[in-house]
Amino acid sequence: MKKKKIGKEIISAENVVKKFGDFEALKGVTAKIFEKEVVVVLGPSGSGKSTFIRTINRLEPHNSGKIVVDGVEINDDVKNLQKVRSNVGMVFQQFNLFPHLSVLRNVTLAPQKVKGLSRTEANDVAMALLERVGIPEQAEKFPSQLSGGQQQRVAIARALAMQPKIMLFDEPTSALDPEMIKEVLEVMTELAESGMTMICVTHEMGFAKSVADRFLFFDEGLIVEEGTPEHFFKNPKEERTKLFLSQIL
Amino acid sequence: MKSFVDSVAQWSRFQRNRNIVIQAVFLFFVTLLGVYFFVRASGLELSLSHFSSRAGFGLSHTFLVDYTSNDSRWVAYFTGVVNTIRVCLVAIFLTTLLGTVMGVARLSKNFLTSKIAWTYVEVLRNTPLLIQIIFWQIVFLQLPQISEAITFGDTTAISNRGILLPWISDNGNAQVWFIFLGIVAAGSLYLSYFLNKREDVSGKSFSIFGNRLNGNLAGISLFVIVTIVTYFAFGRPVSMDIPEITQNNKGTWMQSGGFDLSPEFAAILFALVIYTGTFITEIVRGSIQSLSKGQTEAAQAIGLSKYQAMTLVILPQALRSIIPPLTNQFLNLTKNSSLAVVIAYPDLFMVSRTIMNNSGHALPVFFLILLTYLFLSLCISLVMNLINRRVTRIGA
Amino acid sequence: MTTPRINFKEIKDWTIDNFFGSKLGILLTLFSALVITYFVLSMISFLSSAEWEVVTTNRRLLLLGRLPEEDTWRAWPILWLFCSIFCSSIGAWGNPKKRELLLLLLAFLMPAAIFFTLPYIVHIFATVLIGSVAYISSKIIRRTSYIEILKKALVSLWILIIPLSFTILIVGGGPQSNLWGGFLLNILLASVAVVAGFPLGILMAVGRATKLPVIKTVCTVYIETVRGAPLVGWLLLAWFVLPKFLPDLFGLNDLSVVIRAMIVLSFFASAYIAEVIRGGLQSISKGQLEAADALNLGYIDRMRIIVLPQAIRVVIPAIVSQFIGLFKDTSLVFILALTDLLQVGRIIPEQDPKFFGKQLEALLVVASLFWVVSVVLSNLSSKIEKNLGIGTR
Repeated sequence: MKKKKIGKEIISAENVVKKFGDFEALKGVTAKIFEKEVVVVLGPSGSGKSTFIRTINRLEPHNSGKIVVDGVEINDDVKNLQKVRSNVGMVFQQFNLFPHLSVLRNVTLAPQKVKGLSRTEANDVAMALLERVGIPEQAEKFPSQLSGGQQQRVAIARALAMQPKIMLFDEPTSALDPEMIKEVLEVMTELAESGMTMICVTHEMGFAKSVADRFLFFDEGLIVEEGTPEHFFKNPKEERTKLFLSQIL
Repeated sequence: MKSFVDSVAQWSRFQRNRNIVIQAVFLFFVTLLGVYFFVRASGLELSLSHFSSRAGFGLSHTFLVDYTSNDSRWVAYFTGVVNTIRVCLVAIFLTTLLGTVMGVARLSKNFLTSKIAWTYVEVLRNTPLLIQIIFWQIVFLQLPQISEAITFGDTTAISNRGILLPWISDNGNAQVWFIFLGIVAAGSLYLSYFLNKREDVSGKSFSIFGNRLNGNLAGISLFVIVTIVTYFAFGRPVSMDIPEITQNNKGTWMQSGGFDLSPEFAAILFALVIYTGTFITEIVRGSIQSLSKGQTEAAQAIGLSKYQAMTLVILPQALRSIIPPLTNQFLNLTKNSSLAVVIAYPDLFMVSRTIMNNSGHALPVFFLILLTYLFLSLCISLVMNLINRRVTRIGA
Repeated sequence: MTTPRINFKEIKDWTIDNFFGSKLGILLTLFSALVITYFVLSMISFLSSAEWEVVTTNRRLLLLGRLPEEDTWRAWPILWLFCSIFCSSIGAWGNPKKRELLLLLLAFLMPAAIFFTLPYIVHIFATVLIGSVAYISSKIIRRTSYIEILKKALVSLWILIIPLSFTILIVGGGPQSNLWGGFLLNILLASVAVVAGFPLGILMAVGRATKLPVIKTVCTVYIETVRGAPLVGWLLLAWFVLPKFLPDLFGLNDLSVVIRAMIVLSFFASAYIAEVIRGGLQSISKGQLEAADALNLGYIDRMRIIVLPQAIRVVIPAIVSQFIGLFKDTSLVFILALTDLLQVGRIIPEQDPKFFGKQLEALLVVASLFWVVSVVLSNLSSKIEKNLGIGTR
């Protein structure tokens, strides 16, 4: 097993509740995430796992409870929120690249507009990142001209361009064809090995097994079970966990 | 003989040859129809020569043209065209503004605001434009008589003879000043462009007292400051032309000065703006709504502010789907302006109808109308296509 | 059913969220409240001083124009015919909620109430009864296997409704067509235009979509020319020029102005319908065409069996919208001196000195009649659109 130094606490969620109308998507979730940790979030669909990671950068404002990211509490404060959002990168299931901007411009937009980098500086950062995700030659193309796997890698580069401390992945491979999943997972594995703090919602168990430090298992808006991958694969405690794992493995 | 039939059969087996036959037959019938119409029309006057003769009727609105009833019908027609263009230009500008505001209001989280926009669309889109024109005419004619005009501190006077707004009048060297201001405006635009470009390339921006100076703001400030300074430097080239209502010694009320918005012009303008605005509201709402929620989320997730997300991500994309249907609405507005005839605003259609009635030669005048509207439509389409090309230029 | 308990916290949250969420929110709320107050106050002040006599004394004129007294009865069978076909169509295809049915009833009863006079209470009652019976019976037939026959019958009735209405108007020495007027005229003009413009519209759309350059050009020129000039212009042409271009046969060159308006409106509608159908043709996937080719269907069969049925299905809502637009545009026949609903509404306040200055009352009633029909139809069109979206082919 790989050994990695896990740092101090960087995200803490306490009793987070999120409602959609009458439906309670999160019913009081408490979790802590540490620096350089890779956490994989599992659970059946509708269990609240996506909602949970979306509350971390307030794409879904929570109704009650407390979320602190890197020492900043997440609430209605707009200034704090922007600080948090530039510290937290996010990758979406549907990529959500900006179709009217070139690949390069997709990556440089935030560094230029939010951090105030010059165009040359931003371009250098972006090209380095595109190199890292393996598609520097596509920089001048537009998102619609790329394959799904390439688009998702651009999305990862776009998130990394703000030099975030934490990366959130919301089912990044669910919308991809099998042959493209591999190229995205390779980039994610490389990122995990470089010591990035990552929270991933994914069903890719091979990937989860090899890189995750910890699993969180969600069901019906609550964390039902958490533990190391070995714990999950060898002797999960809860019936619901067993049932879920037997279905996807 | 047999070989001829064979070769025809052979020839007709090919789709290309069949297409030729089909089109030839079609063309034959179309030509037949054309010849029929031509024969029928041969008894009618087809030339526009009568347009050079004296018009003989007065027009209530002559904008930019010094028209009197002694001028030729061409001048009368031209006056009508100018009146149409005038009402359409103002209406297009205002209706775009109204439609955009209402479209955004329709999507507002504020319950009251979105319901106002909803009611506006549902009520006014489903009522015929003609009724709305007549409604505004009635409203403007029910305004108080000029002797009891509603005034707002001497600046605006509203009566059933129209709305008088304050305007500017030339003190002698206004033209020079306007040209100068034009140059300053160009300079300011360049300054904005330069600052924005500089910020884009270098990431640096000017700061004044620690506040970041936006390029657009800098341009506007420059223009405003220079305008104020030169206003005095030029020795006050323009002054306020304030509307006045007076009673002459015969007891007749007179209005003078200011900008006179006549009841007819105001009625057709209001109706066109408000009616077309309902359609533009729906276009704006639909285009913004059709963008996936993911785009807003992605913009937020990379740390863009709400304003940046709107201007850099949402609007550029929404504009692409707004412009083609918007062009259609502008064309509809232009054609609908012909309904001004019902309240006797002398647009090109009303003038042509008068000429038709006076001369009895309807057909050539009708072709002239058709061509004029086609020409106006082409102009609008051309401008909108240029804008569209700029907006859809990939990566703009 | 438990009585819903009022949750004060939720109401408070909703209120804050919707009205006072931020500084901008408070500003918007205040501004909106101001706008609403202004409109409500001016409505109240208008309604409190309004006198409706100008409408009530002229209701016959508004609805039927100068249709002679002895021919008034002809309007009712037309209404009943339309009502029964409309209601049984809803029963056969639609899945209306109770609320929507109630609104539909209200939409009918509102104008009925405005124009209510004692002798006609039976007729109005009969209309509601016929509508309900038609709706319920087709609902019942829907559970049986006869529904397909009913649907086919209804489609043919929708096409036949125009000639049937004309027959009712003309049979046994009816009034001359130039006496048709009021709301009846608006409805007749719009219906005739759409029904007659439809086949020509299909031909033009198909013509514009072909690859044959001559046919394509001619159809494009036709469509763009008709769309290029405003409708009032074309109507004016009907007034001045049309008679000179019609052959001298069967008294065609001596048509009444109403018929001329119908002809022009039909041609006008056809160009717009053609554009709508062209949009539908473009929405047919290439796969469908290839499948048809693979089955070795000829061009005409391909269009008739594969392409057009799908294209027309897709554009039904858009055609309803065209109908609404055309219906609103029928008010433009004022230029031909026809007395349609709007024209009657403009004339009546000037007919009698005691009605002077009551134009707004008349106009409001006219507007609300146009409005009710348009709103009912546009709701119908968005309903069809939704059904088509999830519907089965």
